[in-house]
Amino acid sequence: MNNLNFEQVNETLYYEKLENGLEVYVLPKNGFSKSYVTFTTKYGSIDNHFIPPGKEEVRVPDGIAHFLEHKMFEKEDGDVFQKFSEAGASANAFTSFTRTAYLFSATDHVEQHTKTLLDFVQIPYFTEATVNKEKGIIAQEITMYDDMPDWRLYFGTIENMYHAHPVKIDIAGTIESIQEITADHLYLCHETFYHPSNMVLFAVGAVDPESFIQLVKDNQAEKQFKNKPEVVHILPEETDDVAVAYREMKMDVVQPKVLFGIKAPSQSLQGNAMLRYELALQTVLDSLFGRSSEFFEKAYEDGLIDESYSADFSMESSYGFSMIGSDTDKPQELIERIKQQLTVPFSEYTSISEQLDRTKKRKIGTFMRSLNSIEFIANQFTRYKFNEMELFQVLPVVESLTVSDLQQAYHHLQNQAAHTQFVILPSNDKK
Amino acid sequence: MFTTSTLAPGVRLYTMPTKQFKTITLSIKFTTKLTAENAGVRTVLSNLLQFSNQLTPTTTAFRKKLDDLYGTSLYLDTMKRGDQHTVYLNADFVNDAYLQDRNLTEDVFELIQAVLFKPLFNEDTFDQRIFEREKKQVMTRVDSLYEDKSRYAQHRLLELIRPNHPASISAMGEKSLLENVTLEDVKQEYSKMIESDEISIYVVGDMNSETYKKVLKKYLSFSARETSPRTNDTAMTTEYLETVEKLDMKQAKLHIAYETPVTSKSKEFPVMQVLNGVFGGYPHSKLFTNVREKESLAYYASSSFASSYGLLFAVSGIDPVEKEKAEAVIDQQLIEIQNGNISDREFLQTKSMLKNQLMEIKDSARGLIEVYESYHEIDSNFTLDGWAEKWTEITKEDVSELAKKVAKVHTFFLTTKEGAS
Repeated sequence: MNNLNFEQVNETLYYEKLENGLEVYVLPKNGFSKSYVTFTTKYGSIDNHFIPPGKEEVRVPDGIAHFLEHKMFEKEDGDVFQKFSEAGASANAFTSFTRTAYLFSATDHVEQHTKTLLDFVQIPYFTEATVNKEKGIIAQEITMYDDMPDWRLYFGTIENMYHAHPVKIDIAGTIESIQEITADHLYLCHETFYHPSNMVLFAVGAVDPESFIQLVKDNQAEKQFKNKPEVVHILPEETDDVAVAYREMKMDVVQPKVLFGIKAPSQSLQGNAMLRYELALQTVLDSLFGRSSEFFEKAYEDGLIDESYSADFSMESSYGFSMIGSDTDKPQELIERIKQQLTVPFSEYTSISEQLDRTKKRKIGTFMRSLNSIEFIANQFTRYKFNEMELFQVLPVVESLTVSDLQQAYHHLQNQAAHTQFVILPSNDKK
Repeated sequence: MFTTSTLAPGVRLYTMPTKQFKTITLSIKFTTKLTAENAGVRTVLSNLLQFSNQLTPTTTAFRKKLDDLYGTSLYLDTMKRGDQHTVYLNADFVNDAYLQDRNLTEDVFELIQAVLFKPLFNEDTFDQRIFEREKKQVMTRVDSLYEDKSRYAQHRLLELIRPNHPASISAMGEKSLLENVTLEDVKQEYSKMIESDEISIYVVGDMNSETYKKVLKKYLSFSARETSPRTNDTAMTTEYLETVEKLDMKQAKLHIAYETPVTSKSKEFPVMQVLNGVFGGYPHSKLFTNVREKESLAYYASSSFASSYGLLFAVSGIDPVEKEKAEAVIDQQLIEIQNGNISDREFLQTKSMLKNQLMEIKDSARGLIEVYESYHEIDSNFTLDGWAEKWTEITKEDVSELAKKVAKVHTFFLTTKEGAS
């Protein structure tokens, strides 16, 4: 067992890589009552085209990673939720573009729940009957999201940005695509992506590092895994310009909604370079479009944006995008205003270094606050790990950001070929 | 849990010193009787207080100040509980010990003081457009409820079963009433809030209660005010009704209301919590297991208990053509509980989950404040462990007997215009 001490935030992280390749991390939190354990595979909705070790190239149906996540909970002897409930643990799971995470939180019986977690994720059980039964449930999940205007806005913008990258495919797939899913597909994806060497187990809260890691070792020693498979991922070529510059659709909303997307150039960043780029882009976006920016103040006073306004940047190694948007009565004026702001040369932002200092202060405080939340730590930690970054390096990197980091990031935001807008308009004049 | 002290009659301070968190969590709550009229006025007031005061006259100045205070979170909003309406100010800031800046606490309190006591709308030079803008923000927020179809369905159901009643009055107010709110209304409501609302102040974090009393006295001195007891009511309607509404959407929302003789103040409240857990509170509950897992009718199917109003709800999102089937499955689950068909396993699961959920609150400063706020009125000696004890003694018979007193009163079905998807 190794440990890393992060003095600035007063945290110590324990870790060990097991023989089968599984990486185990423990972050004990003094004074906390609950433990939160996540078991995550580096496998999400974008991993839909690959060559499994020793097999033929395969393109699986859209929505399969999410479908697999649902089906992991059902076993021959019943539903895994039931097992967690018996000893008072709340279990959950989620699928993102790049990860599938299984987790529980509990204030008691953490050992028992950890074994349940490891076993149910590592021992698959699928039949055609149980797979077919799930299709009705997931169809309702997809339909529920279809009725959510903000979700449609978000996905519509991503679809505009990408020509072929699978990030443009809805994580849950479509009602049609999930019909094609079979038990064999699920077994193939499980075998390919749920190998311990492709996964991270992370425990945070009221956990004793030594006994926790021992427990995991013992559990893993009982199981046989084939040699570490090399999976070849196939991603289509993606250019830096957007696929569609503008689209609109009608929905039953009371006010129009606008999202202005800016596609990040493909860079295949990982590790510290990715962390630095991500933080620089977030910081420049915050400084120029955040709630303390001049842009925000003017747009708010002129009635172009309201409380729903947001400006965010998110990235993974193969894609990334900024999104600025709001509910607004004047969608086209808001779009023009954002475009105009992005034509301003960097040299004209004379107070940028003062803004950088202010943003650094805020990031330090919000990061400290987020460390109160063990859910936040658990969910972010694994994302950072999979990208070879370190969650606890955020503060040192933020503190080292310079104006020229921001300048480079701003340059990317300015590329007009990377701009796109999606607008939702009210379908009728009610209310 | 919290150490209570009275700063002035009607003004209470609750503190919980702990080293568990890296920040200090603060909540100041101003509470008065809820009416349809004051809810909207007080929500506009909370927006105006947040964004324009003598220290930070514009939204941007306010945001910049928060950045300078190491990303302090400070916001105002409104909520309701039972027949009471609350304007609250929540703040969360880094403990000085983690920073080189040792004056953060005082700086945060200076800002809170400006927000609460030096609003610009009380100045003659106040720009009326700011008032109009914030009023419009609140009206838009009320409108946006419509875009979340399950929240909208729940709101419509409450309007149908409890018209002109605290249960159906939104804490944000109603659009028709908001339109007529004037700046004068806001000023009057502000004076009432500062001078006569009951005030509760909560502080959780690594701090010394005595030091905090001094800081509070320096920056937030409130005069004495009267307090009044709160009431819960369980008005019963008589006949069962069903309402169907159609909207331009894909998934239908089935929301069912049940009346019960229990509120949070009743002796049977802990039994009702177990009942709700067996019925639909969790993924092991009867609703999830049957509506979703067994029948594949829905992605979500759950129940909740509104303890102030004695109302139980079952909700699910379904294909429009499955309404009869889904409703029959839901009805059957309640009948099973009434007939005592509760397995040992689901009973044990429910109690374990209730207990775990309560214990997990220990790890959230904001959660501790909210739970204490709602429970210490019911039980003045409330502790998390003490409340969890109450569930252990409850029997299946207690639950099925109480279930017999639960009466279905309204089915609200919000469905698609086409009928089937």
